Amino acid sequence: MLYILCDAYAFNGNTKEMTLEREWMRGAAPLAVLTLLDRREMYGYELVEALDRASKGILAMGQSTVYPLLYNLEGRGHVTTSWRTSESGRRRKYYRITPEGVRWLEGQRSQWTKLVTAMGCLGLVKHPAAPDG
Amino acid sequence: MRNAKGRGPGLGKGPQLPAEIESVIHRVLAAAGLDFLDGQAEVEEELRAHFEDGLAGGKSAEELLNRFGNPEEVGRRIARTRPGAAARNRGVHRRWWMSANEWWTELTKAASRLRRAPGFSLVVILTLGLGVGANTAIFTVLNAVILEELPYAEPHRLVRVYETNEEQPGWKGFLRAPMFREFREWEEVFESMAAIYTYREVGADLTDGEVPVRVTVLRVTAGYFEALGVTPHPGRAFLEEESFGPGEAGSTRGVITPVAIISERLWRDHYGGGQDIVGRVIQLDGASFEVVGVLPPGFTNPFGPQGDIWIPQDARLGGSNSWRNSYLSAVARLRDGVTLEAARQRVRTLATALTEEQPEADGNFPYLLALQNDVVGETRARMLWILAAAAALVLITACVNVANLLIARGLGQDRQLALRSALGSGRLRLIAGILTENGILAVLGGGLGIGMGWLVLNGLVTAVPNALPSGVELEMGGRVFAFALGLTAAALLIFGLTPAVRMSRTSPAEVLRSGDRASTTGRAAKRLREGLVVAQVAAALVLVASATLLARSFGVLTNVPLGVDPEGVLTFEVHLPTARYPDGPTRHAFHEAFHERLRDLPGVEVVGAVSWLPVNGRYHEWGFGWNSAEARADPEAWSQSEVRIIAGDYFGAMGIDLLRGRRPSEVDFGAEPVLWVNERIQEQVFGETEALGKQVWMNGAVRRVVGVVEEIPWNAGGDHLPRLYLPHAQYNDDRNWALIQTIRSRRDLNSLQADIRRELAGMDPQLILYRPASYSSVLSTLRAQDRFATLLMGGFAGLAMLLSLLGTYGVLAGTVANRTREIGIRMALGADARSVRGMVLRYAAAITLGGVLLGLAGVWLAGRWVEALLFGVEAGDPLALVTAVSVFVLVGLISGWIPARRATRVDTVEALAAE
Repeated sequence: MLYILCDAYAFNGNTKEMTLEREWMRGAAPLAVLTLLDRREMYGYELVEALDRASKGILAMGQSTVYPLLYNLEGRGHVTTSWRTSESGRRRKYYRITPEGVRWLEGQRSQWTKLVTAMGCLGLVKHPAAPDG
Repeated sequence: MRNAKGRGPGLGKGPQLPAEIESVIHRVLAAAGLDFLDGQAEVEEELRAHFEDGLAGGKSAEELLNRFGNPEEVGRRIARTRPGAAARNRGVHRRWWMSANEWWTELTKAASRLRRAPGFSLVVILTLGLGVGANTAIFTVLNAVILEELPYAEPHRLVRVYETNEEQPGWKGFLRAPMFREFREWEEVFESMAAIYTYREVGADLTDGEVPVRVTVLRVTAGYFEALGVTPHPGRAFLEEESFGPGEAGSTRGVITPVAIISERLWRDHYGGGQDIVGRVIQLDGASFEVVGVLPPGFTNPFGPQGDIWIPQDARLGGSNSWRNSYLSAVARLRDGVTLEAARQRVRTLATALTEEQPEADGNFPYLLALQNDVVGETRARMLWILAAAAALVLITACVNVANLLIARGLGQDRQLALRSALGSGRLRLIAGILTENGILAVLGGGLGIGMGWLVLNGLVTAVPNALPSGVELEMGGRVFAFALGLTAAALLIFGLTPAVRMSRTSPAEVLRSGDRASTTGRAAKRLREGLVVAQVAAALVLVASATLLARSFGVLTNVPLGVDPEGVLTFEVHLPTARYPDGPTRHAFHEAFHERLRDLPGVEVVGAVSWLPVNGRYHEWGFGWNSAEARADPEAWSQSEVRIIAGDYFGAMGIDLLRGRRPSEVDFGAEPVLWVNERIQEQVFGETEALGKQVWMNGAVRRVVGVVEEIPWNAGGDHLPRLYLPHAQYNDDRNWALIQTIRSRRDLNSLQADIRRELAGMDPQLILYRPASYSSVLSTLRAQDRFATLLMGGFAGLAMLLSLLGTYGVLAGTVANRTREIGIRMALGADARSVRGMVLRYAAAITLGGVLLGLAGVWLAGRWVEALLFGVEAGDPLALVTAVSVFVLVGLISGWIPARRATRVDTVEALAAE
């Protein structure tokens, strides 16, 4: 999923430090987070780092904003949480996607695919999809 | 949300983070404005973990903070994920309802507001505590005595049965055995009826152990326990034939079958609680009785003394069970479905038929009284309800002060409320906010009140131990707590809501425009406060007047001339077991020898004994023929009198004056049978003829009157009856008289008691010095109920007076403060201190006068109610009214004086410049 976003960014032709505009971000961030959590459960800092890394910095929003986003997803029932102590002795809150979250993500995924396909047909998307880094 | 170890969020803070990171976390949380219900601790822990992970991953604090973003922005976003938090942060509450989180926030904010006004909070809590405390105390008594059901099955069906007739309305006589047996047959009304032998000498010695034990023995007819719905276990109740036949009765104190039922306490303590108790033979005053049953634990008699042993009363007809002997107290269970009113009507019809058939019934019919009312007693019930009403008045005066304080505080908050209202907060939300604050005060005040109530009760029970019916246990159970809670909630609603509603009506625009100047809401509030204070003074005046009346009544009661000198008199009983002291002469010889020893003790002045102490109620009313020659033939020559058996120099010991004739010590008891009469017999029976030297017929013997003594009342109210005194020296074989010793001494009664115990042991080590008490304390016990009422009412009145003093002062002080500018102008225009002082005092007088007038109307109403408790004082007693009114004139003056003085010290220039 994220590679599409990377392309969307690349389409703008800006540098890596540039991030998505606010409105785009609002729609993309929950999808990005759920996509990562769909692979495995993660704790806050881990997720922030993964987001940064996987999106090549494009989705490196203010790291703190991931927390309200996670609380929101939790409120909607798309993720569940549990507190655990790691081997290093540090307590962390882990987030895991719920079946409801998976269903919602699937729905969104098809929407995005359609959108990107349509944009590609219009010639808006120049490059073919690249594998996720 | 909990980890495997079950440790909750917020518990593991981990290592200290760099100060700049701590600061950022703090800013996020502050902007979020979460409380603990919103999971504030969890968010904090997660943020800390975020930074700790970052630092552990080799990032610098600066780098982490750069990538973190704007703390305030994040805080606000987090708040948006928590219901209610965002709206709360804006201070605007459009919804009328609040979520749990919002309530909690409101509560913490209210608590912190109250903490910032400790004086206000403390005074409100204390005032509420006093009001609730007074009510909790009296409710506890009311609950235990009146509201608590009797401990019997279906107690509402139980009635006490007396005899009464048309000629003497309200007369409640004991039952005659034949009458009792007739009533008992009326099965359409009564499911069961039983009687108890009304007798005060109920002590007996249980002599089957090594040492004799003094026990209380009660005589009841078969069916007694069944009527109360109590079943002995182990064992059985009394059988029908053990009371009702066959055959004829002899004396009232005989038994058909010597069987006994014992209390659970006696079974446990004296007989070790063994199952072999049924069938065991016990010795009562040397006579054998077979135990047939044990009563359940905690069984109490509905009336009369509490028993250890019950034996069956012989209720067969004949002998002493005649139409002339009234001595039974009956209790009945109404047939299921028969109401008390229906039963009363039906027994009248049945009694009419009975009288036609049986003229000796004298036209009497059963007087049925709900057992609960009989046990509590009409006067006591009325006393408790009056005290409850008094406590309610105290609460009202307290609540008026609280309401006044709330209004005054509310005025200060008008601007803040107006602002919230202007921002769109709903009225109900504003009220809820105000009520939360009041709720905290109410809960604390209520809690304090329960504590105070408990203290007051303990103090009262210690001070007046005999004011409540026997067997009543005072305890603060769920019902009392529920009452205190309900009361506080009601007080909060009524007195907290009024100011709250008033404040919520605040017109925002007006308040915001008016700045700090008094608005119209301020003027309305002032009128409300004045009205409340007038009501408060009125309530307090009613209490002070009632308390003065009760105190006056108690004063009159304690000053009733009793004709005895109670100081320095020790009383106690020594019971001589019939087994070892089998006949009258033996018992009399013991008393003679015992008195001899007591007279030799240092400090002892006079020694005597009597069958029943004076002023301690009616007892032993017998008939005597005042004209011995004709007595047997002429019913007109008979008269009724109380009888006392005396030994030693009883008159001297009690300080009863011998008016004419000889002292007991001057009489030769071997010469002829004698007796003494009191003045009332001289007046009522002999009239102008000198009684001294006359012969009267009594219990089968002719006796000569050898002395006339001063009359002594039978009750604390100073009521008199004819009374004659028989010497134990000549009258000791009728029964084993349980004489009460009366010792007059100059010594400390406790040390005397020790000496007497030693002397008693020297004569017979098995005898018990039973119920030792000074005669003063016996008299004091008789007045316990009146003292209880007077003390409590006095306390309530004092409290109400203090509260109304504070209330009046509060309003006056507030008014003077508000009128500072006006007073300044007046003084600038030439008014002197005296006229300013006069102005304030006139205002004080107007408020007090309004209260006094309203209060006098209340006193008039309350007087009709309180009158039943008064002795020797009218409800409209001018002294009491003048006292009460004077007190409140004084209250008005005192409360007005300080504000008046303050008014005269207003600095004219300053007051005007302030404008």
